[in-house]
Amino acid sequence: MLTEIKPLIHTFKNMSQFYFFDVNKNKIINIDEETYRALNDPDPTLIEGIPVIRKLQSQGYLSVNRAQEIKHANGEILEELLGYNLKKIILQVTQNCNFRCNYCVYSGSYVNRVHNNKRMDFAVARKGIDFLIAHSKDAQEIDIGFYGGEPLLEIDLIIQCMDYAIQVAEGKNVSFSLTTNGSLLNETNAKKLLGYNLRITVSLDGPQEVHDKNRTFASNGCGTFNTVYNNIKRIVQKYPSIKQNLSFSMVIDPTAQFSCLDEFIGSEEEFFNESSVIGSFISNAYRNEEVRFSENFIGEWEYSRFKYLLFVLGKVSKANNSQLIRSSYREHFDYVSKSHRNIAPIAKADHHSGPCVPGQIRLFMSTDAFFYPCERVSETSDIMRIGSIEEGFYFDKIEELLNVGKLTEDNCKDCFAFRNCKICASLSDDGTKLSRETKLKACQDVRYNLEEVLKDVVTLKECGLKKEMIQKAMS
Amino acid sequence: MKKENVLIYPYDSQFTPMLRDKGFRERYDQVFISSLPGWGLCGKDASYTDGGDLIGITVSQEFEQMLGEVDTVIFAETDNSYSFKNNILPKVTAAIEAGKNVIFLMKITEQFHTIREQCIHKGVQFTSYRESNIEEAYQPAVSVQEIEDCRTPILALIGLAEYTNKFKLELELKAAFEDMGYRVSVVGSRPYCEFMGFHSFPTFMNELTNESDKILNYNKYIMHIEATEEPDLIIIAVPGGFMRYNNKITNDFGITAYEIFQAVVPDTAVLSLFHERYTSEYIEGILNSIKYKLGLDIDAINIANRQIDWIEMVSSQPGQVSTLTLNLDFMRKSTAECRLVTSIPVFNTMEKGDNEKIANLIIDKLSEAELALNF
Repeated sequence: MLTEIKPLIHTFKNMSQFYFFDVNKNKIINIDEETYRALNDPDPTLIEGIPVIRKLQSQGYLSVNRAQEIKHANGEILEELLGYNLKKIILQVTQNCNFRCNYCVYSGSYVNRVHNNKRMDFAVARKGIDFLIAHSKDAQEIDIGFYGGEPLLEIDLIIQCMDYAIQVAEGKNVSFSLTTNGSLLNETNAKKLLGYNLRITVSLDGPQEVHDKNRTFASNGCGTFNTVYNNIKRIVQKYPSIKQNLSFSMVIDPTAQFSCLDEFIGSEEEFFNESSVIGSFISNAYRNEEVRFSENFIGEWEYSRFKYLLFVLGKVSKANNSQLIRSSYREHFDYVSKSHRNIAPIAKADHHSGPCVPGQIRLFMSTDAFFYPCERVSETSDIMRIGSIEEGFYFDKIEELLNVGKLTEDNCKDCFAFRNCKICASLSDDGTKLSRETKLKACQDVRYNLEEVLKDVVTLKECGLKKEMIQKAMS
Repeated sequence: MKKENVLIYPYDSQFTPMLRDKGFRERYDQVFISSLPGWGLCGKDASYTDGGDLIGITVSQEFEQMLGEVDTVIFAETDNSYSFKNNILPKVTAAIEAGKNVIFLMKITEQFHTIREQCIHKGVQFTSYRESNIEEAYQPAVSVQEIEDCRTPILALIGLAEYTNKFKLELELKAAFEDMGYRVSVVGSRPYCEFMGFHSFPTFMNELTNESDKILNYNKYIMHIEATEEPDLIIIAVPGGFMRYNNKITNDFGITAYEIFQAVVPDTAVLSLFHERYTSEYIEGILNSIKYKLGLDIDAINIANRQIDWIEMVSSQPGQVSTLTLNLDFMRKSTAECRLVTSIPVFNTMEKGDNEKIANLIIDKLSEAELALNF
């Protein structure tokens, strides 16, 4: 049957090969040049006569199926998801911090609140914990997170909250999590935290020269590396079991030299072993001035990643196999490991991937008991305030945030990244409202990144990658 | 005779179908329920667990306080996990010390003898529906060689997985048929069905090692029920699900369901599914799978007001299916939409009147067969 609508695919070339990515099937197909040209011809009816294309169509590929309406399936069951299945609450125990980091979202460089002396009372924290328990009957496990500012400034409150939660959550598996700059994670405080099912994430950006460039004490402007590093060394030595519950968050500064960071992780094997290391780049979301990657950094970063791929393929015996590099290939390897699976086509009413149900996975409660979808959004942006402990959830706002794809409805329907999109409301917030322009900018990045992932995946395939090689490299 | 007051502990969604059962409620004068605080039920109506109509009993945290009001404490099996040592044993001791009769629907394997001794010492009644003091009427034999045909109509109840409201369907269909004047025998899907006055899934199905022996004995078990109870209808419910969910949650690979339906041939069948936005292709696929694997033609579909928690299932890959309760208003709309994609009648057992509709549909189906000459 002739059709004027183009198949929902993305064609691309890689080295001398031709491919298309089928959105409905979520699969990559290797094609010949003639088919590639036909698929890219502005006249969509041309493809009908080509035998290869007919065969692919008979197998369900090259479907013109796409969403007729951008609508998130969870929009209709928000009351249930948020009423019965809250997974976590993150308590902002203080808005104060003893650090002044250059790229901190509360530093003044972002559209967000700035550091101040506001703290959470136990009475408010208790209501937050009660709220989580009352709204999580269907959740198998719940987690209570502590966030700041620097949460360990309020360690007594944290202990009080954990004791209270253990008591009132009797019968439920409850865990705790804490994100800290590590400066107050000394022996005395570490001892207080022992015995709780607590996961601690410490921010450590690399070796001293990299870490101290951005992370300084508020009191004197001096670098904080030695304090943090020595604290961790000491507590791990004194309480070795703490290491299993310790992870490191590295905010990578793209203006710095990646090789320093790379060497630091390699040389501190003992320091990082048993703990996970999560790398992220300085966020440009809500940032007043965009952070730009230095050419030098990009070169070093990409070279390290390239060497790692050679290692995965067995072409070199040794490479930087750090968690930082590995995590940059998570999306690639996820795709490879699931590539054999068949998935249902896009529904008539559907939404691109990316948004979670605001508040369900990481409900963030500020010191003054207002709710936000997670800790990553701006507290000064009205659209992100999705409720309060006194009033409960504002479901209208939550539905709007969930259906953020409506901002770019026509673009989304035809987008090849529909099922691999990473955009949620936080990347579409211009600081005052959800913005089509802000979202479209993020869309460009998503499409660019997906195309790069697809090209990397087919390159790996052309070089003989097998699933077992990934398992071997990751083990 | 004065009816007893009873306290159920620890209460959660597993007990709710029994709490909604007319027979259970009529057995007792007052029913009190207590739960663990972390399960998020305390202070709410008992219906909060299943999202159905109000029950009118508030879940309390105050076990000890309510103990004074009751004659018997039922220690219930639960869908939530618990620590027997920390969450249950102290309450058992408190109940016995307070002179209350105790009934166990949960397994107390290691503590069985100790608790029974405590009860004897204290002069209170001890009943366990999971351990050895409930006699099974049928003893399996390994010399059985052939299958017999059951003359009594058989209704099969199967569910895609656990938590598809199958037990509620068992109770409510039994009650609906009985209200119509039929005598009904039921082999339920839970291991403590004797508490509700019918048969549990027989333990020999887990104890025998030879698969053929299981099939032959299940057939004899049903024939025994037919001979001794002379029912008008036998309801057979299959425990768990009938197909593998993923590599971790295998639902016994559907082997139990397969063996049951090798042993008996049902005349009619009802299928329970999770809620989803089903397409006609999906429903057709499921029905074909059941037809060719189990030999069943499905006559009615029950859509449970529970949906798989995909976030949990994908991110945590738990060892059991994690679900989300859905409210009735949403279910009404969604069930209506599901009716558009299949010719099989679709119901929701949580909806008032739907169980009677299913019962009527089954009677009609079975009456059709009666129109022809049967010998």
